[in-house]
Amino acid sequence: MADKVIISNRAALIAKYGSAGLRKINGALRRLVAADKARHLTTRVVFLDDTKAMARLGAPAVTTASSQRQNKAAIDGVFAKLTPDYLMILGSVDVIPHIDLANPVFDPDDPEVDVDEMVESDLPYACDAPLSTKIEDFIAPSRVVGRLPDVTGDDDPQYLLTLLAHAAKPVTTPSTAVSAFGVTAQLWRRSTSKSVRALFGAGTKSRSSPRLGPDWADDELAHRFHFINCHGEKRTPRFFGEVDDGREEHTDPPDYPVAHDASRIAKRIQAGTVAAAECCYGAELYDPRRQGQLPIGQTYLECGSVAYFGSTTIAYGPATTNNYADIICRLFLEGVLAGRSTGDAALTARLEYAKVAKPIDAFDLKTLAQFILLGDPSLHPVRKPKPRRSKMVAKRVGIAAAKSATVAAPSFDASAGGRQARRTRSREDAALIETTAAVACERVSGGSDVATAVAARAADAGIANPSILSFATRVGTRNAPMAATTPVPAARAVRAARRAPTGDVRVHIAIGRMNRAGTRRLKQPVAIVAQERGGQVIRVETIYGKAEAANSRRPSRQATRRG
Amino acid sequence: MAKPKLQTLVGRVVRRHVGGRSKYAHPGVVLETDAGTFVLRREGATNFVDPALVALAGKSVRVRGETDGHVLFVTSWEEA
Repeated sequence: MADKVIISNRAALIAKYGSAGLRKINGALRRLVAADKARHLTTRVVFLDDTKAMARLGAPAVTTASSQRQNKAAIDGVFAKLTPDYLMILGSVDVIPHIDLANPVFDPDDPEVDVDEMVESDLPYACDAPLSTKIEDFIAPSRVVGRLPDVTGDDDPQYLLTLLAHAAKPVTTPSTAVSAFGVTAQLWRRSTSKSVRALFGAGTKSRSSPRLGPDWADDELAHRFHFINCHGEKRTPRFFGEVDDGREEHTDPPDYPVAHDASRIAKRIQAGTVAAAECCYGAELYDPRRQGQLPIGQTYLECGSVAYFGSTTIAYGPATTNNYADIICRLFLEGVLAGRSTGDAALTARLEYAKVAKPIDAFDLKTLAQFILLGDPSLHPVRKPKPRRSKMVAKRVGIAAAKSATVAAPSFDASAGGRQARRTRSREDAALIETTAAVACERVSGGSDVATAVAARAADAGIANPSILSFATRVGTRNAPMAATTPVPAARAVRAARRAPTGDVRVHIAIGRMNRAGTRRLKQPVAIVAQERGGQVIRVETIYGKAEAANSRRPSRQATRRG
Repeated sequence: MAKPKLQTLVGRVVRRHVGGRSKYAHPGVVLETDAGTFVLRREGATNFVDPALVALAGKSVRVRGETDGHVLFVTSWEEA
């Protein structure tokens, strides 16, 4: 048993840094384990390619570092034996790979609409379900997982040593000192404003690009929470804004200015910062040697950020309201602000997201898979005030009575008891999702009268050359290991069963390039989504930027304001 | 993660909106080839909309670069 397990691959680390580099990393790991012990965590380091150690754990060893199948099986074996409260992946994708999951939004006939054939993800490592390429098999995570990455392709261990040192001495923020720095593409400022105000208070403003950025002042970067809602590009250490000037189409480079730039924030982010970036590729762990600059997320971590939550691939979200990337980032930050560990906040965000999406559509699936946590998952960035005895109470009733009158701030997983409660709750949530979630995931040929009608409606709505993606909806996941092993309290199960939709619905999505002529940009339809049962249309929506309609059918997804 | 592949592709460059309505949505530059469609990108380019690639629109070109999914990271090109 261990409270926290750090997993890595010894051979892969030696291949990058040599034996001398590995010795330094082991030294840094020993210091982190000692620091964890002082935090009342028993931490164990496991190299997945250590055949003897893995045999003792009854888990298969990794013989090929790049094998996703081997890594998933090895981690599942380690988890089954040690049942840790936290699992920290140590290293980038050339040490422990992401798992490639099929992107349900990818259309081979129109690949430039969403260029990602696969979604690179750590989500499967958080799930008991066996390896698969289908995201829908991993919608019910129950493990707390984060990744402390080194630099892909690097041969100097210094970056990783720095991150391990930060993890051993993390900087935390008193809950009374929480403040936020928000950056947004001007076009999405309404959506971002909703997010930051809900999270950090009504007076919180975000900076719009254009015309602000990327030369942020020190006092702007000094805020401990960063919320970024901008464009992102593959293998690029910069995020971009977009002008909102009423023009139908933007074609010029100045319309998409640099909003946030790794080279301009290096060494300037405060230790203890927590960042959530909705941007496409915001957490992509690419080899940065050709750019000569670390990716933005890894720049945050180098400065001592305790967590960076971002996407490996193209992400989605509307311009004026909240959905998809907005929602999962808000849920993550809500958890951290409430006092959860970063890993617990990521797990809770995924579970809450999956619980309230009805049905879980193709964009939801991609969102669930693509957002990953970079950082040590056992750290609690926000320090709640210690319970204090009232002097007045103490004077009147004595110390003993005053002690019983104190009210402890919520600790979530900061104690062994809290972690056990978290484990029980997350397994119950996962079991309920496995058995009751409706997922529009199984691609079927359109072919029906309804699909034809949807295509015609899309064309009428101005969606150029619409592609029709049709999905059968099913209830529950194909594999349900959590449901098989986790008893769910009867009352919760009954409530969930009542809310569960039926699985005989087909969902048809018409997407395509926008024909912008003659309409206002923000009212441009981007998709037609129709639900069909038995050949009859039971619901049809025109989605304008995936906004109002999506939110109106899932009001419980609106993240609540921080108390 | 699929290994990026270094290759040479011949096709026609077209300016086209890419990324649907995602956080990647922008006027991109696309290479249409017999092997499929690829969004062109210069690694290390500082702009989201790259003027050097925009200038290729309408031309038939031979492009050398690294494909990563349906993105082609261009290292060199010449008119075909």
